[in-house]
Amino acid sequence: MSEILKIEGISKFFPGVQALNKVNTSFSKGEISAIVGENGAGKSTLVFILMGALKPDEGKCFIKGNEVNIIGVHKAKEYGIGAVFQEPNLIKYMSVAENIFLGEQGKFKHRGILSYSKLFKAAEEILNDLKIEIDIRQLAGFLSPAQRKLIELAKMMRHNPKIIILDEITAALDYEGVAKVFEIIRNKRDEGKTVIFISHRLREVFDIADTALVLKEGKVVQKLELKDTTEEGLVNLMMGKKLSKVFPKRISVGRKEKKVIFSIRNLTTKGKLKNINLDIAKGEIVALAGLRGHGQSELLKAVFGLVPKNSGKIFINNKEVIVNNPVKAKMEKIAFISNRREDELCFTHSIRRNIALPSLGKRQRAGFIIQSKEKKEVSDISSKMNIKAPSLATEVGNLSGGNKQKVVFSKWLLTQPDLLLCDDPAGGLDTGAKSEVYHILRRLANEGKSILLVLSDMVEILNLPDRVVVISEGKIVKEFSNIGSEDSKMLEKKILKASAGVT
Amino acid sequence: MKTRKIVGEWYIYILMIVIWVIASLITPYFRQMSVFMTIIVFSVPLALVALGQNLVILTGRFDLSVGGILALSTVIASVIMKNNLFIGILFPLLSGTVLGFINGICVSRFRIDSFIMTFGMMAISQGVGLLIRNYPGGYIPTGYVNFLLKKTGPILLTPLFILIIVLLVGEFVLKRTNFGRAVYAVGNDDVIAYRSGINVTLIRTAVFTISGFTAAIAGLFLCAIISCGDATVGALYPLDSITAVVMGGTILAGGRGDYKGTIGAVLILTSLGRIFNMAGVNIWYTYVAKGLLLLIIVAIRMFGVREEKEVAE
Repeated sequence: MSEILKIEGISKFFPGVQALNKVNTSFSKGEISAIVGENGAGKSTLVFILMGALKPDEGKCFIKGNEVNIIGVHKAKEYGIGAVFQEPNLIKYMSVAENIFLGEQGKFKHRGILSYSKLFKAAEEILNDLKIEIDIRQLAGFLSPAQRKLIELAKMMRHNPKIIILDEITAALDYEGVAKVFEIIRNKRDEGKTVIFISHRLREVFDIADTALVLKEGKVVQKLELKDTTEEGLVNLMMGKKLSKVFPKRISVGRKEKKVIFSIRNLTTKGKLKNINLDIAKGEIVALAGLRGHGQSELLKAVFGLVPKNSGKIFINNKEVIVNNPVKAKMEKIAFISNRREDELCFTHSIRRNIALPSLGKRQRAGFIIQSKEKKEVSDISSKMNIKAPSLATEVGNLSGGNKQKVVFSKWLLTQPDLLLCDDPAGGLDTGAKSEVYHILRRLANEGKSILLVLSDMVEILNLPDRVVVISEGKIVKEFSNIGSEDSKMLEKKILKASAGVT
Repeated sequence: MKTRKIVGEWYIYILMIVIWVIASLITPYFRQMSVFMTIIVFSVPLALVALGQNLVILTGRFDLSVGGILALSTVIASVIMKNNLFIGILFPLLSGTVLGFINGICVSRFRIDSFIMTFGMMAISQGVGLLIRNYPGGYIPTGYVNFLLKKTGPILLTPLFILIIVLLVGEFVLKRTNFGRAVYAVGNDDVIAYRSGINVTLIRTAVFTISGFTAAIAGLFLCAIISCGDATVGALYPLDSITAVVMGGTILAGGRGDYKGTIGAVLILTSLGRIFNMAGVNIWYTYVAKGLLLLIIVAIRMFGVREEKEVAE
């Protein structure tokens, strides 16, 4: 394999942080390399430098042995470097075809006027080439997250880049979406492209990548062939210490002893859900699995009153409750943690304000806040949740992803919920933070709270919950009760089958 | 770091003192107590209007109807007060509260853009005011005027007292009540607030209602100063109140800011008119200066925001 991209002694310094410290590495033709490391290890900085979006303080880049100076994203494009990022980058109210050729519509002129037939034809060719089946006339805003990622891939591929950088593109995808993206990446590798792949899901790294570059605190720990190591070995390299246990132990309680406190009966929504029946016991963690967008998140939202229900009843302790907005949900001791932290936290407000928000009503005297009580409750919960911050007055926007998520947990726990709804609670976090979230969830369950999760990462589905419920096309298609006792390989197969609608 | 934060929070008062010092160097008349008192008196109605405006802007909206509501309040007072002082106070307050409530309902429940809604309400309230009284006039009881603007030695106690009360109430409501916290949360992001179980519709309706109410109180105070009802007296209040709120450090997008800064800005804005007047500058330049001040401050702030963002990335 021949070396195509080489970097030597790249350093980048941000105020207070040495983001990259004399990094040397190289990438070969026809190879998928993963860059792995904890948050703050310097992965994104390295990618931004390769993309020309950041200028390194020192160091050199070589492409095919020639020194290059990548300044500006346009330069990167010229050198044959293309990238797709985690954040969506499509214009909602333009068609797929227009998005793919954004900024280059000028190529499709017919007598000086944009010719849509030419544009659509060219876009179709690109998608056919990649074996993507999406209507190019559709508006980008109506695509599913997986389809959006595919279109962004297509948009990048139209320049025919030699080096493809993919930064956390699978974060919002379910396993089917991931499989489709991986198929495209593998094809490109086999065509001789170089792929640089970044993901927090180690399972995916092992699935797709040939080699891994491990970064820690801005330095290269090691570059290694993935077939020579195990997941645990890689984690140990990334963390620099042994990770005791990523997932907490389940405490097995016979189902008979469990007391069902929460029931959904015949729930149907205007959206996707049809006739959902579900019981959750005290202290139980139930996960909703299946392909993303088949109604799992909608079920959480419907229970919390964010999505209107057509029919169906919700019972708490055998008493019917009517929840049609979050205010009511809060009164019935239901909490909802969405998968988007930006929908949960006011980033410019302090930790204290954020945590206090939903439970304000609990610490008032005639509308006035009882300051001492608030201070005590907030600082108690934040030390219990192990939030790492200079003080409670710190703006939430300055915290790391893991600490932000802990603030979200704290804020809802102060409302003393009995039922906790979480949509992908560990999404986008690094391994250490993910593990902390798993332990928090398990601890809460042991304290007697009922937890209903939406999970899309198979590793989490197999290891975290007590029970897995697979939803497909808005219906519960299968339930797996004895998660702990079954063979995980078999279970995984069964869950995948059920998700695909095969029963 | 700490001193920098304190300076950042109180910069408006530092600016105010600087302006006052410069003014008293330029014109010796400025050093008189009576000038200071005039500034205080004219600050009261603006401070009241700005209190409501501050709440509205903290939720990320605007209220352009404050001037119309204020003017209508003076007009109604000038018609009724001569017959019955109590009803003469009650009716303007009611009119302001009701119009503010309509603003609030339309913005929160019917999702009309606040700019358009209050723009319309500005025209409506001013039109009604002109229908009732198409030129300034009417009668404001002397007893009422004396109560508000009576001199104790060289000092006008009531306006000073009102200003301090308004400042304390404003700060207290924003910082120490559930309502204040909810206002900040809604302004920062109403989705987050809604999901946190806050009644966003109620909060939005409430801030506009309060804004109408405070504008009406301002009208009641102002009619004592001008001793009549005038349907056009509110023309500059939308501009002045928004300028004061923004100068005082509240972010137009909502969610950040406070009221003590706004009061400082109110004092500066009312001082400008006096200073220009005494320095012999044409009074219309005050408008130019106020407009420029607003634009410059917003420009500086946007510059700061952009820098913050770049650092974050």
